[in-house]
Amino acid sequence: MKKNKLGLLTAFLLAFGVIFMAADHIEAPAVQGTSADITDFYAFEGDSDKIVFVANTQGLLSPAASPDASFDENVLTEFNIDTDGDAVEDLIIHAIPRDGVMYFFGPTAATGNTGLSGTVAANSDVTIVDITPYGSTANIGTNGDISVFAGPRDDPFFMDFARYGEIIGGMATAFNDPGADTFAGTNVMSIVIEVPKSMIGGTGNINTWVETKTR
Amino acid sequence: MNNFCKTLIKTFIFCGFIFQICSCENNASIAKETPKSEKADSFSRDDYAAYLQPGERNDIAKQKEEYTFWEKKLEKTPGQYPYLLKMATASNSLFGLTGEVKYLVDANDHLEKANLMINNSSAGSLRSLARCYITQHRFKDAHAALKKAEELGEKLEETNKMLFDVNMELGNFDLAKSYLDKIEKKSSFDHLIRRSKWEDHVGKLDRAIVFMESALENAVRQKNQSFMMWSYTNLADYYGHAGRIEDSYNHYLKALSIDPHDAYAMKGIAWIQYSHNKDAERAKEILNNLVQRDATPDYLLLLAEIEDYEGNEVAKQKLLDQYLTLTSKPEYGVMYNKYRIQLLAEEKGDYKQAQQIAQQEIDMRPTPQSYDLLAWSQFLSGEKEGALNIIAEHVAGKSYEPELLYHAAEIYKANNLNKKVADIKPELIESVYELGPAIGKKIQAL
Amino acid sequence: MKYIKILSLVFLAAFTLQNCSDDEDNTPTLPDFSGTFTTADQMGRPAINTVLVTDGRKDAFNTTVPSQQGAAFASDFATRLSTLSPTLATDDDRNLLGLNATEFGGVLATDVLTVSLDGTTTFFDGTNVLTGRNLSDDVITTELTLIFGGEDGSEIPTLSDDNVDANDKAFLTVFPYLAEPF
Repeated sequence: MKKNKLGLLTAFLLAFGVIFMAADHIEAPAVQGTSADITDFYAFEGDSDKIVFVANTQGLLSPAASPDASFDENVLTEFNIDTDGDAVEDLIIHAIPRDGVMYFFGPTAATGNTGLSGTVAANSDVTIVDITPYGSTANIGTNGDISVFAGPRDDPFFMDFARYGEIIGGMATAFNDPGADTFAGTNVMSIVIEVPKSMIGGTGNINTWVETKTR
Repeated sequence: MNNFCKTLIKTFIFCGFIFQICSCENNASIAKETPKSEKADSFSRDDYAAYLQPGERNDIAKQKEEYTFWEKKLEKTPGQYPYLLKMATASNSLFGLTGEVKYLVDANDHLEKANLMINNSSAGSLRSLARCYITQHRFKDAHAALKKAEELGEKLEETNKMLFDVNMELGNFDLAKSYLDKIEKKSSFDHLIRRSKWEDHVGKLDRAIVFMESALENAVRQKNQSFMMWSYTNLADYYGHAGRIEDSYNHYLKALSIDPHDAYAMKGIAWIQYSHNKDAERAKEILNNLVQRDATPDYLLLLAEIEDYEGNEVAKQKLLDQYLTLTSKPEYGVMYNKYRIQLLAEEKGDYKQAQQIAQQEIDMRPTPQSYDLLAWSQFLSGEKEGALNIIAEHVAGKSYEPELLYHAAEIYKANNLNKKVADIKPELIESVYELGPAIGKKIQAL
Repeated sequence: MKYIKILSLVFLAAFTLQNCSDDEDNTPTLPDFSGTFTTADQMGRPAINTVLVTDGRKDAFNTTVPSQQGAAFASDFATRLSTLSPTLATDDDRNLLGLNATEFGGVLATDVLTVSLDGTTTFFDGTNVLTGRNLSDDVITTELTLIFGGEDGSEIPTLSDDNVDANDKAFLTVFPYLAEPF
């Protein structure tokens, strides 16, 4: 039976409407998850009576991609500070962006906000700073002795990450000498806060870690 | 990701004003409806004329700059596989922005190479590769990559989402559902859109729309422009399925207000002009405009249908030949199998090749859709009993897609199963907009 | 630059927005940050999850509170260390800190960064160990040395140092300390 015998000739192109209306487009957008991925965490003495905390996210940003990089408003960054050695946070610092501004809350007691879920410590002391746009001088927000920053920076991390991957994957047995810094010439989104030691225990040792929490 | 960032800034400016107004009115929703029905011309060219000349776009140049940056770094330090991944991301964006398939091939090559260098030991890199395979309709390859990622377990939830997508494509619907159920955050965008897809699959379009609307709300709340774009256009498609043409039209326009360059939304408007508004000239104007600025072959096919509708056989055949030549390029692989099968059988009388490709599709993914293509090409070649057997065994009751139902109806009719035809007909009549004016006539004649 | 202009437009919009919702007395009100936030990722010491958590448990490690990580992951870490490194294969094999795989795994499993409020802060500077983490600390080489270096730190030299020893841009001596972006 020939198609023209069926008289369906014009009918068949019908299906092409369906092309436009269905099937292919449902291909889901790429699974996300990078904006909450912590690339690095630093804690060190800045001014002699202060400690600096740094949380970096969104690694391997090229200079071209950096102007468009932004903090995700649904990601809360939480610095945890344990002052009595039980690996349970006693103090927290929260950082959360909104409309181009990074809001820092604390350091404040972790009461009610320990563990894996919680709310923004919005009732505690706030230090705010305009998120520094790429290409601008760093905006620094202060509140008493606290200083804060948020924006793109050079990624301070250095490592031959690729060679490490090859070794773990069983494709190489030794590092190269010299190695290549995978992160050379790339940027990262940084959140930095410097606080007086007196606000986080004063003396002795603290244990600290950073979390990203999403809503 | 970069894509998202890029549109983010653009759209923030665009939306800044809207956000402002909304905030003063204490109204959280930015998705305001403009009642189109009050206009004299419901689908006025003025609504989208600006998007026919959307102006210069710097996103393509930016992605090329991004690509070059990593390419240069890789030249200096060839072992750095993360740079291959970055290049693939840029290439993938360029494919999306230009429709040029060479970028997709490039992304594929870089992703395969990167995964090889680390012996498939990174779940994230495997997911990127799987995603690229999905775009190319290489669903079995995508599945294999995702199963490896599943074992590694880094961000298992992301892998599970993609395993839902791929199993849906492969026709493993029960398995797909089990992955859907594993997604923990039920209110997340990623879960809502997949739940929506599932509801559509089981024929519950109303519920599919509800979930997609929730996904849109979620995207708006997150201020995630790429998710908003995605939800607007997918909702527009669903509204079209549901016969809510004005809602559909308005949502394509909303997508275009976020990204004036979005070709998919423009194509949707062209379809409305043609299928609903019966204005072939306006539809052709849009499609010819898209052909100028986007290499995706699909527009040629819709143009061919419109030429057919207008009775321009020569113009139609020319467009179809153009389409067939373009989509036979090896770079497209199996991406356009479905349409090639139909064209070969319906227009070129090449039943043998059509059935060959249909069999290949079935081997790759034994879905009702693939079996339908085989049944349809058999039917057109005159094997009406064989076609009926395939429909009975692999299609009937397994899919609610209007196109498949229509094919089934024609096959039932040829086999004198008039009761079955009568059962399907009312549903088909409801789907006339989706199937287009040409088939509308055929449905009436069933 | 163009982008700066664009961004400042964004901020302008943002501030106008805020003004709209300001109280009458003009004290700036905080945005609405309500809602429950759940842990997506966490980190104490660098690269611990990448290096020491076995396949299939990385997600769990990221969402186990540090006070419970020891109980949940110490034995895993010990096994992983002894498989990964011939220099920690048996209980008698010890690293530069004098710890065998079990002991070292036990230390690392609780993934917190200890910071001294009294003395030098450094990941490792030849004298002080794990009293913080500076931007310039070569933390990867330190960790590799502790895993592959054996008792004197030099048993498997080809795996004990990635041979990238410093950042490619100088850090600032003042806040915010990190160098300007490229």
